[in-house]
Amino acid sequence: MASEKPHMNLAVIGHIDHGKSTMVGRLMFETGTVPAHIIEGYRKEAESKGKGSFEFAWVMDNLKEERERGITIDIAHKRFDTAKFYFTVVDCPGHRDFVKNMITGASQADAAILVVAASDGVMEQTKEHVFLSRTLGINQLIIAINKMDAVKYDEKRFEEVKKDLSTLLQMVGYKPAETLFIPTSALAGTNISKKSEETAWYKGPTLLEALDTLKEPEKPIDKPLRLPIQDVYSISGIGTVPVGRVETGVMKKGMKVTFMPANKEGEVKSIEMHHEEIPEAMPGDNVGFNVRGIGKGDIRRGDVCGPSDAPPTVADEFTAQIVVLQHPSAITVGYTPVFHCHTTQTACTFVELQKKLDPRTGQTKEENPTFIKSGDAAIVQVKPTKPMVIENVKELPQLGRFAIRDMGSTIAAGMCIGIQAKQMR
Amino acid sequence: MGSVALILKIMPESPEVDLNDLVGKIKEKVAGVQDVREEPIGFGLKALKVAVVVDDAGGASDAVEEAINSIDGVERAEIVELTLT
Repeated sequence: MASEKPHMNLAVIGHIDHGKSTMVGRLMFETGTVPAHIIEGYRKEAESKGKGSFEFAWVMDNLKEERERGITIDIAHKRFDTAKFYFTVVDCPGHRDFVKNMITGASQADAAILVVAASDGVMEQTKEHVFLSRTLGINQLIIAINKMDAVKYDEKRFEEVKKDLSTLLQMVGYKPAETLFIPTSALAGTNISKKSEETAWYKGPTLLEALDTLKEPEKPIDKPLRLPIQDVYSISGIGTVPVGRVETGVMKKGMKVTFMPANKEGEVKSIEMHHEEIPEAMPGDNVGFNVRGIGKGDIRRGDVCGPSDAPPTVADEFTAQIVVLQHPSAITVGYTPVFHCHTTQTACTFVELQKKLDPRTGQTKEENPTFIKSGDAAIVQVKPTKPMVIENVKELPQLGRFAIRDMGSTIAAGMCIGIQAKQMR
Repeated sequence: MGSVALILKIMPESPEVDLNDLVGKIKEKVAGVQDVREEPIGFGLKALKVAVVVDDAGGASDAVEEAINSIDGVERAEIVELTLT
C-alpha cells in the first residue's frame, strides 16, 4: 500500500478483553482498508450459515484467520490511512515476556491508543500499559473509553473512568488536560469515523479525527550521535566493520568517534547501507561502517559509538523509575538481575529503594521501602556490575529505557532518570 | 490465546556464510516460519529477515531466538518487530 502521507507507528494497548483487537479491526474497516468485496463475501457467507444479521466480530475472526496464513515481512503489521497519516499498527501482545522485545527491538511507536472498557474501568493491565508506554517513549496518547454500548452510553460512567485515568496519566507524566478521551464502541462503530446519536452529550472528535491531531515525530538529528553496536566484523581487505542502527544524531564520513565503555577512539572511513556507500547515516538507518584505528577485539556488542567531543555516558550508578511486572517474591536491596538496554545486557545491583509510588494518587506511597513487588512502581538507585552506557531518558530517550530480566522472564521495565557518570578520561 | 507475528533479524558470522543454507536450517529448527528475505547491509554483509508466528505466551519469543542463535553460521538472531496478528 504505497502512500505519500507521513508514516506513524501506532501502538494499541490496554487490558485484555477491553476490545483492542476489535478496535484495530474497526479502524481498518472504517478506513476502507478491508476491501468492500471481502466484507460482502463474508456477509453472504454469514447469511448462508443462518447467522442472519451481519456480525462485525465474526467478520473480524475470519479476517484474522486469513491474515495468519499470509503473514509476510512487509505485511506483518496491519495498516490503515487517515486523511493525514499512514499508520502501521503494533497490536501489543498480552504476555509480559514480549515487553523486553518491545523495548530493545526496532519498532518504536510514535503514538498509542489506550483502550479501556467503560464497564471495567482502570484494570491492572491498563495501569501497566500506561507505565510501559511512557517507558517506551510514547509521548502521544489517545484514550478510547470503549464498550460504551455495555454501559448504555452513560455519560456519568464515562466521566468516572476518565477521572480515574486522568489520575493515572498524571502520575506517569502524561498531561490529562491535553489528552483526548473518546467514548467508543468498537463493536457498534460508535465515534470511530462518525459521531453517534447515542452519545449526543459528547462534543469532542471521533477516534479517526483524533488520530489526525497527532504530531509527526521529528527525527532526533540535532542530538549527539548514538549508535549502539549490534555486532563487530573483521572483513578482509577492509578492516573492522561494526554494525548497528543510528538511534540519534548523524554519523558522517571522516568523523572522529569514541566507543564507550570500551573507551576506544577511531575515525569513520566509510559508511554503507543496503550495500551502497553513503556520506552520512541518519536516525533509523541500519548501517555497517569501517573505522580506522579500531581492531575487531577492541569493541563489542553493547558498546555505543558517539562523537569524540560528546561521547556516550558511562554510568557509575543511575536512578531509575521502574514498574515491576512479575516477580515471584519481592525485590530488595542487593538484588542483581540483568538489565537489557539498547544492545547491552548488564547485571546491575539495586543499591537503594528510594520511593514506592501510589498508582492511584501519583504520590509517594512509602519512602525507602524495604521491598517492592509485582504491580509496584518505584524509584530506585542502581549500580552496574561492569561499565555500561545508559543515558537520561529526558535527553536521549532511545538509550534511557530498559527491561529487567531474571531467570528467563521479564520482571520489570523502566527508564533512567538520573546518572552519576563515570569519568572515563 | 492470540498469536504474535515476530520479525527477526539474523546476522551471519561472516559475509562468506551461505544464506540459502542458513534458511534451510532455520526452517528445520523453527516452526511457524512464514517469510524470509535477504537484507543487504554493507561491505558484503547481508542480514536475513524472517517472519515467524508464535503463541502469545511466556517464553515464546526467547525460544525462537535461542533456536536460531544455536545454528552454525549465525552470529546473532534478534527480534526487531512484533505485533498480535
